[in-house]
Amino acid sequence: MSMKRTRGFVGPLGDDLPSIFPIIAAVLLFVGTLAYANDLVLQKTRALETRQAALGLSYIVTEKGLINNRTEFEKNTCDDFLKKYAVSNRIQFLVTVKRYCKYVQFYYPEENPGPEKMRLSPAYLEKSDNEMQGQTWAYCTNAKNARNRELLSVPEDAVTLTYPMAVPCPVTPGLPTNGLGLINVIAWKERGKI
Amino acid sequence: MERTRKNLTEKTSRRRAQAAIFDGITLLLLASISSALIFSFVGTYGAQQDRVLRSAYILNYMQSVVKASYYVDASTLSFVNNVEYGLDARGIERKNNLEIYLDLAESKTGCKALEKYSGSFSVSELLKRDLAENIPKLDDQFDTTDALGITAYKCAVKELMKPFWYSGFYYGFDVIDLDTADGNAVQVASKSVVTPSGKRYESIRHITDYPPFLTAVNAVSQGGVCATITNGRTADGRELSPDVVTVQVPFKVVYVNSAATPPERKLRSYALALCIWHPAQ
Repeated sequence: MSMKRTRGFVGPLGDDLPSIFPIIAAVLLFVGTLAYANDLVLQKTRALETRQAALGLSYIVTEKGLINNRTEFEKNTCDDFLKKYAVSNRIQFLVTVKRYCKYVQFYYPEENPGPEKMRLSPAYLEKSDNEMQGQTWAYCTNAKNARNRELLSVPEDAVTLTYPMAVPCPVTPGLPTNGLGLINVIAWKERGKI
Repeated sequence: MERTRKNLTEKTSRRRAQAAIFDGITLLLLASISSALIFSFVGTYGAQQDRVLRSAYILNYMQSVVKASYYVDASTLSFVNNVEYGLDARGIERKNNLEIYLDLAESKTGCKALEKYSGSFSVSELLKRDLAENIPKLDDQFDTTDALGITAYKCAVKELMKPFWYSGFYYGFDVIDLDTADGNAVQVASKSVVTPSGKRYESIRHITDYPPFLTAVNAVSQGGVCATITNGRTADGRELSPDVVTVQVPFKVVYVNSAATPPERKLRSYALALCIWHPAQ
């Protein structure tokens, strides 16, 4: 009699078994979405903060439109303003001043540039006083791995901003002449730091 | 009676199972909708802020162009040409044509002519001389002597605005007279150019010789190129450009009227305006 009454009834859990699958799928979908969205939001926030900090650095270096004293740039602007700004914004940065003097080359090959063309890279550190186009004339950085390096390797997600700048160009010996130059501001965050 | 009760029990069990699976599917549906909403939020998160930061970069770049022109010596711009020297992905030097302000490649009147100002005159100083006349006009002249002010400024802008030109943006600039009631742009004089073969032609002097001004109803009006591109419309009523970014910086010029007794000294207020835009599709 009781067997007949409970026919079709698998049990308290078994009766709800088919509904377990959509419930688990829903929970997994929701939790997965939250985790993925959180990761994306953090990534975007990190990128925006880096870009904002790079802009802040560039406002400092483009304040005058002229960099005519390398020592003053590397001591005063670099140590007193750029490095302090970077500390308060928890970023790593590299600022390079390039001299062109004749015409400006904005484009730099990303792949296999070769040693001569590599000097045009915004992250090229070796300073030069000669008049070759695109040489790094001055730089400032707080990157720990910048010592004794020709080319600083920066992360792929680094923000690079380029601005025109007047720089000294010794076209005529003895005459102080300002010519065309570029200033590159590269900023990035250390891995794991937000 | 017994049969009826049995049927009821079976129906209740079936309904309970159906209700449970229905709850599960509803939950899955709700989770899917929530996920879609979250992805929609994530997709647009930071987009506005990113746009603002990129505009800030462009504005700062344009301000730097004008600031640099205060210090760059005009003679160093004598190499500016209609060619952009760049490198391709393999590091091989390539040349691209820079087809704007083509007259600047003229050897006698273009950027090449600036080499005579060796090491002493900045672009802005030359521009001030060009404007320091009784009737200010951008004609590369200070009274009767040469002062290639507008040419020097055009050479500087042509070289430094290359990234925008190659990215499909147009640019223009004006010298706005702030002493006039409506802030009129100072007129840029057209010059006749004589080629080595003796052919005479009116040189291309302004951005208005390029689209979208060629199709514009109104010519450059009060306020100059930047004001026109902001407010102007094409023949079929469309805006010339929906997005215009403009920077203006103050520019003071001292004019001395030596003909008066005693010589009269006057400070004129101008603004250098530089704008970029993307042509309306």
